[in-house]
Amino acid sequence: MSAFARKHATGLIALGLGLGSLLVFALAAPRTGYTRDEGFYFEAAEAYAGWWRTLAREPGQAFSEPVIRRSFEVNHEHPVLVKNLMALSFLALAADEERSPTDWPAARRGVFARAMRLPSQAFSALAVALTFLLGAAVTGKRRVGLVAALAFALVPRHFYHAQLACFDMPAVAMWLAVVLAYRKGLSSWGWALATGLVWGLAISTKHNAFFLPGVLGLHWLLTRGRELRLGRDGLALPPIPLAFFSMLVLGPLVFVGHWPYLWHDTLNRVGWYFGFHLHHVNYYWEYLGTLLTEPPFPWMYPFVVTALTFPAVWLALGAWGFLAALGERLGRPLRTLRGLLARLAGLGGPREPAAAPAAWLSRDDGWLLLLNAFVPVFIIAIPSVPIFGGVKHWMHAMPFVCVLGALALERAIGLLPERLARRRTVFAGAAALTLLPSLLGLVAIGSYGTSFYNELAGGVGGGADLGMQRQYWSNNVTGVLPWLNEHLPPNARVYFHEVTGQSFHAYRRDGLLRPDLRPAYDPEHADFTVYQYHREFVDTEYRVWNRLGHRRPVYGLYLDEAPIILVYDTRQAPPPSARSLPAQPPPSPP
Amino acid sequence: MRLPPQAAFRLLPLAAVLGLSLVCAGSWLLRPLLQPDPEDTRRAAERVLAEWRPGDAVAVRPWWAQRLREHLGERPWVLARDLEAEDLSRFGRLWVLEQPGHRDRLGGPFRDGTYRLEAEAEFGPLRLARYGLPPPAEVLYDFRAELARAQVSMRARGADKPCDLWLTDRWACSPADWNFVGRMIVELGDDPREVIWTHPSEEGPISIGFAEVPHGRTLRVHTGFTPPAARAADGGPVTLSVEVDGRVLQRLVQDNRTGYFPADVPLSALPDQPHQVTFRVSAPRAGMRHFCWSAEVRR
Repeated sequence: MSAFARKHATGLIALGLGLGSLLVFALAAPRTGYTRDEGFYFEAAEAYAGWWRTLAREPGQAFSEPVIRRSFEVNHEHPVLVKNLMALSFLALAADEERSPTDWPAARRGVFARAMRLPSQAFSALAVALTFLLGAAVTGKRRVGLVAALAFALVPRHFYHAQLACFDMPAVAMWLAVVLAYRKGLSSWGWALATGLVWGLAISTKHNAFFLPGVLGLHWLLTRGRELRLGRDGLALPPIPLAFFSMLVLGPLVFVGHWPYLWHDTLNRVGWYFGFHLHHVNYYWEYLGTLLTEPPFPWMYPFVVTALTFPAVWLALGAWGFLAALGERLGRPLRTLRGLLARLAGLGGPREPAAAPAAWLSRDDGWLLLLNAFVPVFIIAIPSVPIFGGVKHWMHAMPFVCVLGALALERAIGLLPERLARRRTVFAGAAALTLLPSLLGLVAIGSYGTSFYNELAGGVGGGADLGMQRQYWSNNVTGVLPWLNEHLPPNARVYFHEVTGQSFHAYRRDGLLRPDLRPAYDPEHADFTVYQYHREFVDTEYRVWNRLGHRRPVYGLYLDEAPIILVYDTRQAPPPSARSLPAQPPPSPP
Repeated sequence: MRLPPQAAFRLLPLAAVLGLSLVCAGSWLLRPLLQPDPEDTRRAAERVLAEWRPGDAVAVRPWWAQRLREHLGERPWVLARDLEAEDLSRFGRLWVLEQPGHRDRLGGPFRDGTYRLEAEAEFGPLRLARYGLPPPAEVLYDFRAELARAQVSMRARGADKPCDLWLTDRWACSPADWNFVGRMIVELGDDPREVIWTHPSEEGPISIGFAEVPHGRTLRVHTGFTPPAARAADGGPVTLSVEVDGRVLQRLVQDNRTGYFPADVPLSALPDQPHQVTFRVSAPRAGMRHFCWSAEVRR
């Protein structure tokens, strides 16, 4: 190994992990369907691309309110960092592609989505690399970081999210970046300043990052709280990390600066943005046989869903690592309490403390991992917080869980007698074995990531038995597209249940769906209905049965024999009524 | 090499992790081998079709494993999560296709001898069982099936207003999309049910009248609210009154819960002749009252 490689081994491994992950995500993505949200973001990114074109051609025009509003009003409920990168990627890689191709089979497939997904896949790769850096930094062992990064990436639900043009995996990457910058910022002015900048980018990615100051503030209190003094001179605070001031100043500047829509009517538009997320609608969600519709939601929800979707081995390792690190952090108060109780019970005086075992983590790093592994999950556990979307809303906790799990594995191997084997070899073998179930689960679920349930649940079928949400986001429809392309008559009208118009057009644009097929907006006006099982939408399928007079689909996608997507031939059904029929039992009559 | 007890104890955590890894990896490797092939389902369907008789119905275990509908979706199905509690009195035989892992013996009437296991066959890992049920009830008149012949009216502005516009599968009472009497399949409780949707109106009852209904021994009625209706915290009861030849025989009050609740109205005391049967649906507060019902005359 060259001196350069030795000196920069950690950075080089991170780079390799990042590039390798990006390649794998990009190669896997063409098989993964376009989610509902991606359809909206595709549309938004194309609109933003228009603004970038204007900026390049007529810079003076680009900053006017009407021009900004025309482009950036689309999907203004989310900040635009990722969507702007999508716009630029689109301009660079797909702007010249035909919007409505007519050739079939398509000469070029997937170009549009590949361009749109590339930026967020890069963020996903960054998340993998940063998980490695975090693990290596807090334990001082690169192998721990490496295994943590692989464990994180191979979780089937994570792997799925890593491919999408959405904000969830970018939010994970930016959360990690802020935590790493803050950690370094505790001993470096430069990093402390950078923390503000990175946090600004994090809140420009997704609103999850607004919770970070709370997490980091808690970390400061837990690690420096003992320095708080209330004396004659008043309240004496421990030194406040410079990073907090940097976040306070730079964060809002970056947030407003990155988002042209906020450059005019700033207060109103920022207010609207927060209002939207503070009063977000609760989508229905199936959980343990119950359709959750409105708060209060069960506080166990994120813990149970994690327990049923995270690979069981890493669930166990993560839990072990978390509890061990927590025990270590709380060890002293617990020992003090135990001693006090013993003395009160007359069980003897204080004993000489036994030699403390070697620490798993430093005090600072221990709390940093524990808080970041717990708080994002805890937030979703609050009964009034919307719970739709599954694991993606607390996914930013999982790199920290994986680091704790990898550390637990390291410690398990550290318990072995010295003479048994070479530790590094044993670690490599053991790590590979622990990662194998994740990999096999990933292969088993393929591109249908929202349907994944782990070994404890019993796979997709087990999830169905337990009454868990079978899928969401509509991307599993790719499982029937080849059949539709092959079997549907020319110009057939197809109702794609839950697939947005934007996603439908993206499938046609990318050569995944025949160009002659036409969208229908309800089963009553469709020649074919492509229904996806959702407990909250069963009425859609019942409407089809009611009209057909039978329950026979002509084709389906099944996972573990559980119906995921069903195709009905609705051509034989009676013609629709002159009056539109209710989509479901009407919501609020009379 | 022999390890001292303390060293062996120190191996335990790693051994547990690796053991769990092996079990989990094995579960993913074995899973595809235990799953049925679509061809197994097709062969099972062929057997059912070959031996099909009028009065037969099909069910699957678990309730969600419904690939069989691709082959038998045009036959009568029992789509219920709890087969043991389901009213199967309309059927003479029940075919049950069971997935691996869901082949434990059914209880209740399947175990106490009420339903007899008549035949079973294996198709790959699938098991097809045929149960003989007690002689099926003879349905003389199914009000849902005959809905197009009904006379429907609602009370509006103090007068009876006929709902005489028939659209595909329903009598429309007003332009409001909830205000109709129609055939629907809706979820009641946890299962899909073929019902007559009748959303009450606060102005007065909605009447659904049927003439020339054959005489029978019993009028079996099911009522229920859809889950969204039952979730309405302030949802009040709905009354379904059953009138035969102008006499109210029963008032069924459906309280605010979802499900598919049966009730029997005895008819045997009435003269053996065709009847005029009228159902009246009313509610003091009609908001979110997604009330559904079905009824049939049985011999």
